[in-house]
Amino acid sequence: MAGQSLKRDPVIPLTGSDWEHVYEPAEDTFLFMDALEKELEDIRAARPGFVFELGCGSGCITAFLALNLKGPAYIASDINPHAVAAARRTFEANELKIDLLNMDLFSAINLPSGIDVLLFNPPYVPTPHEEIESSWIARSWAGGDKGREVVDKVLEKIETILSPQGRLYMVALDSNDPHEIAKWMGTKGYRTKVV
Amino acid sequence: MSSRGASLLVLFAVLCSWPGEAGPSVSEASSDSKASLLRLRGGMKLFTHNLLASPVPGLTKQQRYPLALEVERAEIRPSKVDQDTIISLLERLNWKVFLDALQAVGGEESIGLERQFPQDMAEVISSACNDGDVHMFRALHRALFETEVMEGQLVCPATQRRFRIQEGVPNFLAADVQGTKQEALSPRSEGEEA
Ligand SMILES: C[S@@+](CC[C@H](N)C(=O)[O-])C[C@H]1O[C@@H](n2cnc3c(N)ncnc32)[C@H](O)[C@@H]1O
Repeated sequence: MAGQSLKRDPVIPLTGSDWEHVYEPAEDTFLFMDALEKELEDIRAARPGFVFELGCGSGCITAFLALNLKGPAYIASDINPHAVAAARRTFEANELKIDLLNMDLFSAINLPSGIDVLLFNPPYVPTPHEEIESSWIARSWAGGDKGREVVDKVLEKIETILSPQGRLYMVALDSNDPHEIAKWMGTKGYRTKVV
Repeated sequence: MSSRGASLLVLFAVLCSWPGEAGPSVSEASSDSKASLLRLRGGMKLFTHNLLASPVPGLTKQQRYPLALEVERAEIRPSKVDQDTIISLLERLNWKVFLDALQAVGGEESIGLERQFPQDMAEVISSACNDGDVHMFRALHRALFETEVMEGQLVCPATQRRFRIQEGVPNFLAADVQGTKQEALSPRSEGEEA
């Protein structure tokens, strides 16, 4: 299937000063989009109805998937109000109708039937715990102990977040101990693979 | 720019097995023609409202759902109907909560629908899924995806705490989780031009 995709890249209408408070798409962001591109046919075949991005930052990951996979309903969220405003401009520039929520993790959402595809490029850099709340922009990378503090809050409750056939795409660093994560998720009955 | 100490990145997917599910039938509708609307800046869809719950800590599931909706301004933003999406989302909809949200917007007439939705969701499902009633799909699409709340309030059912929907985005940040201890909180004053 590779090579025949008509991939569309999102327009990012943001500039210099926007990146003061919003995570600028970086290597991890592009890696994420590349992986989604590879997974696209697989995701399409699973017919997801509901896609959610946690920590959307500039919004470009959701925009990328929404441009290339029509059908599901998309919602994106971020704790950082600047990021939410930026993602809004990104969605608008790409003529996408995607709702945004300004909230901490899943604090204001009720998911009786779960998310089919959850996208999460988390704050994964190992830092002292205090750094997480030191600024809005710090929240985009500061992951506390082992870079896992925010990630673990999500993984702990993953079975209440994903739908029965749901999947999570997430970035992890070596220092986040992805093998341990995979083992842990295994005990919850999830399969893990590296894309 | 950012002070990340990133070395090797592993992107990995955590997933449980996808059973070879036999979903509803085909049709990947997409004519990627330019949308005719110039301003697509959207608001909160009624579909989204259906999934929202109070972020106030310590509440039970029943206490935190649903959020009452108060609408100051809503807009209709036409988009393409996708029957498959509607079918798959109907299953996860709380129908009563949806009907209440629709009333908060002003009811069926206010969004240009001639017929009232049935009170009973089973009727909706049977006319949409079994009879393939195109009007039902269109009406559902209009109400769930084209009706957007731009300004309003969401109210916690247990504590009556209010959360603002501003320029189409619900803000659930509480004063004590505002995230940053140092920066002033002027969320939407910048980065919002145009
Ligand atoms: C590494 S950045 C990724 C941004 C964007 N998705 C990308 O890939 O370019 C992590 C994002 O997660 C957000 N975030 C951090 N903690 C969060 C939390 N508790 N709830 C919601 N979002 C959070 C940050 O504000 C930031 O936008």
